[in-house]
Amino acid sequence: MLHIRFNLNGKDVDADIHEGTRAIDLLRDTFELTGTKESCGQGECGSCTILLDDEAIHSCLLLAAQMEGCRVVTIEGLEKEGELDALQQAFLDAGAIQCGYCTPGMIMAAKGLLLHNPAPTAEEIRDAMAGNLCRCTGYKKIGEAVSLAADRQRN
Amino acid sequence: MTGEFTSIGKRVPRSDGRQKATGAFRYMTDIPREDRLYGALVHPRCSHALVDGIDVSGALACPGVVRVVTAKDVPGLNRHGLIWKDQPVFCDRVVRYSGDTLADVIAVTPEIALRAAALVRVSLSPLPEVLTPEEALAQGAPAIHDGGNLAAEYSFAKGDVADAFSRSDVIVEETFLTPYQEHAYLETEGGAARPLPGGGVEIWEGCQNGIRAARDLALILNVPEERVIVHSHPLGGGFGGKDDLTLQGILAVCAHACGKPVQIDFSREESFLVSPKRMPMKIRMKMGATWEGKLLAISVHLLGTCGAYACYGPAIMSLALEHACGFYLFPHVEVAGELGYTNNSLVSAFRGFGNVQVNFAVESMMDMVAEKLGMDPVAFRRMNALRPGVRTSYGYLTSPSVYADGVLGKLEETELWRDRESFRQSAPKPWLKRGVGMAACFQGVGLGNHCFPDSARARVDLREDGTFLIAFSNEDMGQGNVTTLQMMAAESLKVPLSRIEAVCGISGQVPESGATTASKTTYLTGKAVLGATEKLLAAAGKALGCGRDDLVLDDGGANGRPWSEIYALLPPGERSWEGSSEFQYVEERYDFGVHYVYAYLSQVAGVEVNTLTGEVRVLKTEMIPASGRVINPLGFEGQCEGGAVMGMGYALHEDFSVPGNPRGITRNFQTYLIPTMADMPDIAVTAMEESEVTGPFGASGIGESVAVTGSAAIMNGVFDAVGIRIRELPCSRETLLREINGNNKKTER
Ligand code: FES
Ligand code: FES
Repeated sequence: MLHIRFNLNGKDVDADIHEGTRAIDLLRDTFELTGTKESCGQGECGSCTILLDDEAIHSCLLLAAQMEGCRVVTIEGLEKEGELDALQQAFLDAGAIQCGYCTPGMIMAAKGLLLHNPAPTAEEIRDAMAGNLCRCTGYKKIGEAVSLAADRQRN
Repeated sequence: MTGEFTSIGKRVPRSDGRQKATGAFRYMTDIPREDRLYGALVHPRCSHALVDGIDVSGALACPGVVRVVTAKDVPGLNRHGLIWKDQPVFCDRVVRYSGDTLADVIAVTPEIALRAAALVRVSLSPLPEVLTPEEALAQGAPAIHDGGNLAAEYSFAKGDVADAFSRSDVIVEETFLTPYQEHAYLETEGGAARPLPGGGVEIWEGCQNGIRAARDLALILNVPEERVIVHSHPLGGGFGGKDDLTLQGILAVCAHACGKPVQIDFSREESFLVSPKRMPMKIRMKMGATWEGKLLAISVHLLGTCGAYACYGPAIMSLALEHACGFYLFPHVEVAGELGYTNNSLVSAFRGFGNVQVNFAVESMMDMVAEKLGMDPVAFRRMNALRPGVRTSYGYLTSPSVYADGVLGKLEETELWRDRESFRQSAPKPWLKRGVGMAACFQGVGLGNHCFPDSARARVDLREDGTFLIAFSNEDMGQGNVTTLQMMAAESLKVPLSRIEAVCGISGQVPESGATTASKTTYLTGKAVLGATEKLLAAAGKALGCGRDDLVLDDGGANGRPWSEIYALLPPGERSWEGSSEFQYVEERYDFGVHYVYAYLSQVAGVEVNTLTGEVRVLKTEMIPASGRVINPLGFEGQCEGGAVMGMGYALHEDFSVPGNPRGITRNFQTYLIPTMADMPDIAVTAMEESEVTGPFGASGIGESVAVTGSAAIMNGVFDAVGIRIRELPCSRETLLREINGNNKKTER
């Protein structure tokens, strides 16, 4: 058993974990933050993407222990006082959501991108998000949503 | 165009979108885990064997293991299946594919269950494996089921095909092969069941037909239907792959056996192993035409497999034969299809089922015949396309809303098609060759008249606060049917969309509106919703002392009275109404099923072939769907774009590999490559919004046709680019490179 402390969606939290506990399981099972999805468990789909100290990362490949002392943001942490994050609003407006199972991971991957590059080109969006699979949308509206959010954030 | 409407035709963000964007949306696999047990399944290590015995003692000895459930624990019928009940919930006598389930180890944590599952000892006597339909249908093949290996065969003939071929000036004869395709929905199968006090179960697992699942589960548990409650909505993707029971039977039996809630979640690997795929097909096709470009005859033979159990296999073969002539008119026809059981992956419904495979063949052939004739491929198609009021190649009349020529005409106007010469010339490097290809299809809306009656019911309730609830069974797997049906209800009542709440996917609590499949929810359940709202409007008219026709609807009410007041005026029994709808069927009956209503679509693709690596990229594609009036353009485009990319994956990369070893080598997304954002072409969608005269607000269905034409359009584009005809999907780099190297002259176009 290990005891870890970290900041989760703006709140300091702590948890008792096994050495082998994956970050995704701690988030989903213990903290009941089920917005983070598991679709492959092997780092191949991006559904489980979260931010770890502002870097988009696959929480299925991350050990819970690695969150010690870090700032962790999940999809649930983006909405501020009932106001959607620009990316969430843009995904909605652009029609970038269908079944929605990839959506949290997509939005977190895009968040990671925009934190480092507030004005990405279409090309940069593609490159940054090519590790996130979506089986429903064909990606076009997802790319448009990220551009739209970036534009709205700048203006 | 949208002027007359208040809701329809507006670009409306889906009603569940906000919850999905914030992570608050709960899928069946997200429901908090209170006091529950976890199951891990035991699958066989081979694909055809007799089960001699299952020794569970090792697993039971593990601390934390509660029980091991096997076929012996099934209280009722240990069989289920969409068409025939031939698939066991738990294998009893025979293993027929490597995704069969022998046992479920139930433990207090998923980890313990998984570790203990490895300790279950299964004694199997291997039987000869039958891996392809050719082997299965050969003389003396080992029988997979008591009745033999032929699951279904259908045929149709008209006219004198031999004579017509002898009179043809041009004949093309080819064989095409299509692969297994995995649905690859991002939410893998999973969920939970709890025993109900007094018998039966309540179950949570995403599924495309929860009410039918409840019926099957009642038989499996041997309890009355009302003792099974199925929560089947929402789904994280389905595409046909969650039409049949997936884990529900196992969950129900386990919850019943343990007397406690049980949860099972599939890993990606287990999902790939167990779940059904798109039917692989071998298609032999021969077409004959005159020099003038008139089609004279077609002969088609299809060979497919449904895998170890029938699943939707017979319906897929039926649909494939129905669509085997495309929407073209052949005076002389012979078509036949055979479906064999094998010990390979299961095969069941998958977006565009049956049509996807044959469209690749028909639309490749149409290009090949046009080329031999020296005709423009679109002009040749238009000359032979179905028209309103004309009987199909099989001799039946469809709904008069026929847009075969329409989608071809519109395709000719697309920039990519008009300027295809400049697209060809635009390749930036000498080893990159560009070409433009096209294809078109029709797609039956609904299940057709083959195996099931196809009807829907829906309900509308007026509530005290003047808002409305619509209820139907069709689950939303992402395609957006809930929003679409809300929009239709809002339109018919002329109230804002926000006043319409919807409930679906809970058996026993909503009217049955059939499987959420076959492009039919907008059309069929849409009509049922409108039937219900019309009855409510008639009742409101009566309550307000006028007829339905004199009812003036405005933003929040009728005849100046808000709906909350009308609620009070209506007798309690008249605030809730049910509507129903049925498909119209053609008069003629065939061996296989046919439809009355079809959606039409054409697609043009601009491709680039790298002649050094064999890589094909789709740079641009444009789709022209004609599926009647578009209810929500945002959702409609999403269907088209998603279908275009799924079709591209099928054409270029997706090949669920089951060679020799039926367990297959495809286990996860490392080896099963679905398109990513990096592969995405520039996609344009131009809907032809001519009305489907029989549809609600003139709509039909869009879900499937969008995934049908991709492979032929892209392969026709590859031919245009490098002069190589691809007959086997997916178009692998290796094959293409081999052909390019063996065929260097042709690349110098
Ligand atoms: S679940 Fe983590 S990358 Fe797929
Ligand atoms: S919306 Fe379904 S996987 Fe992306």
